[in-house]
Amino acid sequence: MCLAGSIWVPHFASARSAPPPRASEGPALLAAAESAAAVLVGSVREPRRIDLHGWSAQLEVERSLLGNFEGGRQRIAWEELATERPARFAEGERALVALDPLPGHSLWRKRFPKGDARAVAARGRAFVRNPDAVTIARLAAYLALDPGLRGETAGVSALAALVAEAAPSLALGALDRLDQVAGLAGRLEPPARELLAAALANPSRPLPVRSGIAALAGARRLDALRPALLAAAEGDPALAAAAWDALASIDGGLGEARLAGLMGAGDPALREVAVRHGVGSGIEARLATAMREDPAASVRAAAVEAWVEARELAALDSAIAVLSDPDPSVQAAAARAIGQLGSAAVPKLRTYAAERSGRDAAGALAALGMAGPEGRAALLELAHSHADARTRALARLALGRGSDPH
Amino acid sequence: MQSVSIVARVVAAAALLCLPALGASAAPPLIRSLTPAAGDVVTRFVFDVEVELLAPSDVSTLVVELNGEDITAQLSGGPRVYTATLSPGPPLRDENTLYARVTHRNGKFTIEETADFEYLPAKARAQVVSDVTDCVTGPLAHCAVGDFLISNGRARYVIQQANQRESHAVGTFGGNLIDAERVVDGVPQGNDNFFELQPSMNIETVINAIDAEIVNDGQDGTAAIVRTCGPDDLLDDINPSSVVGDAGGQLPPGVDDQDYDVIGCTEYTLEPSAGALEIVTTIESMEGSDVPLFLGDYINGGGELEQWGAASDAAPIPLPQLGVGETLVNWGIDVLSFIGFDEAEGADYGLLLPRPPEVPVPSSSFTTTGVSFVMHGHSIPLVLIFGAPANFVVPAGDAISFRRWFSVGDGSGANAIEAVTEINGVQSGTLRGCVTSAGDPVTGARIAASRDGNGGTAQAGVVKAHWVADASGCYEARIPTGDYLVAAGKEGFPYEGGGSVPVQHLVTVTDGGTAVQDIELPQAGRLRVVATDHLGSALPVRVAVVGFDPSPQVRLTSTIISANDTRSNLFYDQRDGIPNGLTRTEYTGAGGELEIDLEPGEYQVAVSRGSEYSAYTEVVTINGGALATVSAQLSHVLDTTGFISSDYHVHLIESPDSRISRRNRIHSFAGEGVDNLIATDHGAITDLQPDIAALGLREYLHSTPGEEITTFDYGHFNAYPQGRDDSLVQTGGSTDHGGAAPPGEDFPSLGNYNLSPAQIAATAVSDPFNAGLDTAVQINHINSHFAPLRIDTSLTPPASQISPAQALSFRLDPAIANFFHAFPALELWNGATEGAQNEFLRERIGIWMNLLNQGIPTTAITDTDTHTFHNLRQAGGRTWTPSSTDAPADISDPEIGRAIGAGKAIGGQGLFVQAKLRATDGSGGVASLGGVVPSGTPGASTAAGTLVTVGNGEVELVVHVQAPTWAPYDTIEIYRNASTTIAGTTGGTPTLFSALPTAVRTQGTHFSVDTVPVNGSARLETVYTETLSGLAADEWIVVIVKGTRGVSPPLFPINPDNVDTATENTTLADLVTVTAAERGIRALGVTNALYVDVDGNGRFDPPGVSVAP
Repeated sequence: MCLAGSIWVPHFASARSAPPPRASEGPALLAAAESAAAVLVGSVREPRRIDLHGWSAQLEVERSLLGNFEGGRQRIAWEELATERPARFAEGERALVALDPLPGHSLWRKRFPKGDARAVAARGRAFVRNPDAVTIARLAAYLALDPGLRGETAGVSALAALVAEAAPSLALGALDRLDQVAGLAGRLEPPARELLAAALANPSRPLPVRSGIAALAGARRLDALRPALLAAAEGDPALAAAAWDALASIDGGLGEARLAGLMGAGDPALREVAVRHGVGSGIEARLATAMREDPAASVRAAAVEAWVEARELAALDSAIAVLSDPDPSVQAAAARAIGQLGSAAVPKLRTYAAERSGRDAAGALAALGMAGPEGRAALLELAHSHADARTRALARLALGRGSDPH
Repeated sequence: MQSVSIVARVVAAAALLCLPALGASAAPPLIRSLTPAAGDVVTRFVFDVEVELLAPSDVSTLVVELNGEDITAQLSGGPRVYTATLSPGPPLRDENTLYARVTHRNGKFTIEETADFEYLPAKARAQVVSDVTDCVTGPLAHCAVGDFLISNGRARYVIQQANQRESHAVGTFGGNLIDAERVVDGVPQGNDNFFELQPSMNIETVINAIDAEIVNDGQDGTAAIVRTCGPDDLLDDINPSSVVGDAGGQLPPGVDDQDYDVIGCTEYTLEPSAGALEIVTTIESMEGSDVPLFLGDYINGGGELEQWGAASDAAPIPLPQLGVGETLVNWGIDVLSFIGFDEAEGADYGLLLPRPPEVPVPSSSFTTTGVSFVMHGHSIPLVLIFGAPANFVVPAGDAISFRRWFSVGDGSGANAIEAVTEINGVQSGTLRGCVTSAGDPVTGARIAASRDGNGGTAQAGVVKAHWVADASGCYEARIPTGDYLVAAGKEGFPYEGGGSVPVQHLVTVTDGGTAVQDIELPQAGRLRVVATDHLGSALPVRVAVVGFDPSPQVRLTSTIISANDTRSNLFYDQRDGIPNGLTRTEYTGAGGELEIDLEPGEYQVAVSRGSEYSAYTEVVTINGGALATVSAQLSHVLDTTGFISSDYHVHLIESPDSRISRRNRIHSFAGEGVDNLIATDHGAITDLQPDIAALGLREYLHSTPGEEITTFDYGHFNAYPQGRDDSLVQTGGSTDHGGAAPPGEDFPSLGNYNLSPAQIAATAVSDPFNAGLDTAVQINHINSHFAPLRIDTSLTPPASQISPAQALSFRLDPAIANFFHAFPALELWNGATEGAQNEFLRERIGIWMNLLNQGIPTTAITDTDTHTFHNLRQAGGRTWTPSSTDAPADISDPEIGRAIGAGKAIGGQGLFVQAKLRATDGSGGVASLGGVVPSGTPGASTAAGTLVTVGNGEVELVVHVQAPTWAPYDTIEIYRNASTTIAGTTGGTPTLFSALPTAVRTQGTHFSVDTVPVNGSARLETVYTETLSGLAADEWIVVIVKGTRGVSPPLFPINPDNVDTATENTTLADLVTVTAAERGIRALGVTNALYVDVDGNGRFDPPGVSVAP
């Protein structure tokens, strides 16, 4: 409710420990900073609640990265939707914030009738707490570029520096931004390449950032990062799977020996890479074993999808048993893969489902549902005739029908 | 000076005030005009502000402000006229002040001009409802002072204020969309039929809004925004883990009653010209780790609405058939649409859903008993069959948002398709046309554009767009491009071409193009019925048309297992289908007349008024374009003096799973000759008395307010009579069976449980609004209570056998050892079908008799539990209780509550069975079910005259049976301290019981059936007397009278259930001569227990339970 006079803060979970303040939003900061009215670094003073969700504070500005600011203090404003958690900015806390003009909404005009504040951009998400000097410097360098250059070589270099050296959340935002750069591989000049390679190899950089670099390299086929990826794949267990995946994307596959080695790895993430890239290779025949016997469900799921993709209808006899895998995610993967074989798979799927019941039959029932009109006809027949009531119910469910429980 | 220096600086108000104000006479005029001028009303969103100077060369500076904000920098032009184009946004508001100040070039004086003008284009608005006259209106309008109204020139929506808790299905909490109506030419249409949209966080949890506020009031011409926020809470009325289990699936881990430390905020945003309300929900997590969530909405159309899910082309698996009607689950839809019918024709609603890539896959829906859960960006079957993981994860301490839209249309379901097509940027063209018959528009005709299950046009299978023709018989909408099969139909009209299926036209809709498909239907005929009583006075009646529908519904799911599965048609939802052997069922109002369209052909018209009246039948021929008239005279043939009949279980529009309007519900009960309609909506106390008066039916019908207390897992309970708390608009103060807890804490894991059955009974009876009403509480359709709680009534005392874990799964306190509670009444027989009679006699009767055998006085209730209209469920069994008046207008509600408490009730469908026990010892003692129960009589006792004390071990049983001639009977069963038999077990616990009659008496052998003339007609009547002698111990005695197959013909067409039209009755001639050998429902009547006190101690000493092997 709108509040008059006093501010009521509900306490509806008193048994719980106090929740932490809202997570900072580096990715949102970078995107918001590009169009912000100001990007400032400063210390938060006098944070206070204005109304139920509205907050304001003074930012004692130590540096302006973007926008006109003459120094001193800037009043900032934001909203806290979760009223029971501490405000996102504490007294004395340093923050790097992107600021927009106040929203024009009537609620904001009521809060700031004089308009003497700026709002933390991206609906309050564009900030980083306690930014270090390097983070500030790297962001300043990027924002100092003419907006038209941010997608060019200079911008890519600045973004690479952010990825390599800035606070993790901002680094992730920079990776997102790099992924939006057209012709990225061609704009990745040596300094930027070296920064990304160094970050990939730097065990002190957070794993999500390093994995993100590998994923970006694979998705955008950044051949220049190949040596660094190879080093990570061979020497960094935490990054190996992501690195091999990226290398496979860049090179159009992995060699047979490499795949065989990965197939035998203890890390299921590596085996999953192998099965995902095993189609058409010398290890293809091993997919059939992997989809049935690998101890990791993720590997079995990837294997059955790859096996059916490779052998199509010829895979049916061996893959059909995976529909009864004890792990539902493997069942679902098998159902998706086999269902896409269409009508030719229906007779065997129908028989398979008819001979099983309950969860053992669920995969085959779902596959029938995905196998076109003939599959659905078979499903309908099973919904009528299967001996087991639960299986009939599952068949109806796969058809989108069920009995009314009331 | 050729130009004016434009000063772009904020001029402090104080500084302005300090300027020397020069009067017009003291200074030369410098400003010729301001535009808008004082008093102007601006009606365009974008407009120009103009300052025209009189002598530009004399001006050195110009400052222009709008509402105190400097807009000088926006000015262009000059030297004489300066213009700024203003767009919606601050600082504009409804009332504005334009201010201009010019300084003379000599700097010695300044001139100021102001103009107050209004900015009133057709804005979107958000406001707090301060007066009920601001509210949206209509049959399901629940708006109240303090709610939020958000509106534009096309529609008005109500967002309920926060901090609400009314136990009413998806309407339990506040902060949600509760009302919506269309606006035409500035006039609200007042036809709200929408119940509620409740954002859900994780299938079982929803947002319980604890605050709501206006973010933008819309005065500035931009979008109006209302926001509501709150923590997650369980929706106590719905427990998806149970229903999913029933459907063969399973909920993924982390969903069942899972409490997370999260907050949900929903912003409702309406742009000034938008046809849909944008709804964005943000879930903010305070958890220390990532939270996977199955986001979505609970939505209940609720009103006179047919549901239709428009299958998405992007769904992973297309359904082969999907039409108008509720389907349990689908793989992906673009729209969940609700189309108004009957009084709601002209209203429709749509939940519009985003397509990929905004979501990983299309959203899907799961619907049961009128309530849908729409899972955002996920395929529900994948989740239920495989436990597929959540598609959305809230990072630790972070937030995610999801978006959808809600539209209000003009009654044509295609509005929603048009809106979602626009939102999703799908290529589209226009499809339009008109439906006519003999040159006249067919208003309300249904038009379907469909494809087959594979997206082709081999046959109609999946309805892609659906219209209800407007007043001119026409339809039009922009729909996605492609080929469609287009057909039309309307009840009462033959299909195009005159066949049993509609002609399907292949129509191609091209991008930006317009395809036209007109359809001509053959002429309908008209049937007029005029009904009077034996004195010639108008009588409200039911009219049933017997025969075969020449243009039957096109079923799109007709080959699924059971009738309950086949819920989808090409044109109409079939949830309220016409029973076999009939083609039309309608009710007259107080005037006893109606006129309807009917396909040409030969029919029998059956006019009836329920069990106490004779019936009239006549074969008629209907010709296209011609009127046939039937005049029917009915007589009240049963003598029920001193009793009134009631239906103790009736649903209408306030129930989430019933869409029957107040008018139709009242007409249907007046037409069935029931004296008292006990309104028992799910979680809502409905008072129909004003409506009955408005319809002129007080002479025929009374209504007692009650409610059905609706737990999800362990049964439903009717409480009546109930007082209404009118301050609680939505429910009238329903019984909170969920047990309110502080917001965010209504979880079993936090020690907050649902009420136990005993607590429910106590809460309902002790409600202060029920004071003085002698409220009774019955267990409904009792197997749904005894079976899940595994209550074994053959144990003494009866005891539930569920484990603490099972109790917890029902959100009940696992520490409670026994969930059995001795409610005063049991709904033993509910419905109008042969199946309902069989359930009573084969599964439930023994539960009741186990209780009687234990000395737990319990009243058997016969009623219908009707949620529908055309399928005639309201024509099922009814219960008569003693009354101090025979006039419905004077019925006393507390008398009804006391009668039920005292066991004075008689149930019957076609039969009225009275029983008495007369002492033969000369004492003159009599026990009977007649006689009003006085105030203050203790409930659940024999104190009201149902016990007779005898000194000679003998009593005379007198059974008096009356029936209209259309309800023959042939058997009297007498139950005395009867043994029961186990009829069903749950988890090994016997929960359902039948019973063994002590004696069976048959017509011809033991008694005769006389035909007695009455009121120009006749009734069937028997008075059967039997002396019960040699009684050694106290006894209870119950009498059941019935017709049996092979002896008595079925009640068709008055009660039409289960007549065979496939083999036995394939022609009208067959149907009008249904014989005793044929299938069909038959007459049935049952008394409550009378007691014999043999040992003379003045009370009934029970014999104990006897379960036969």
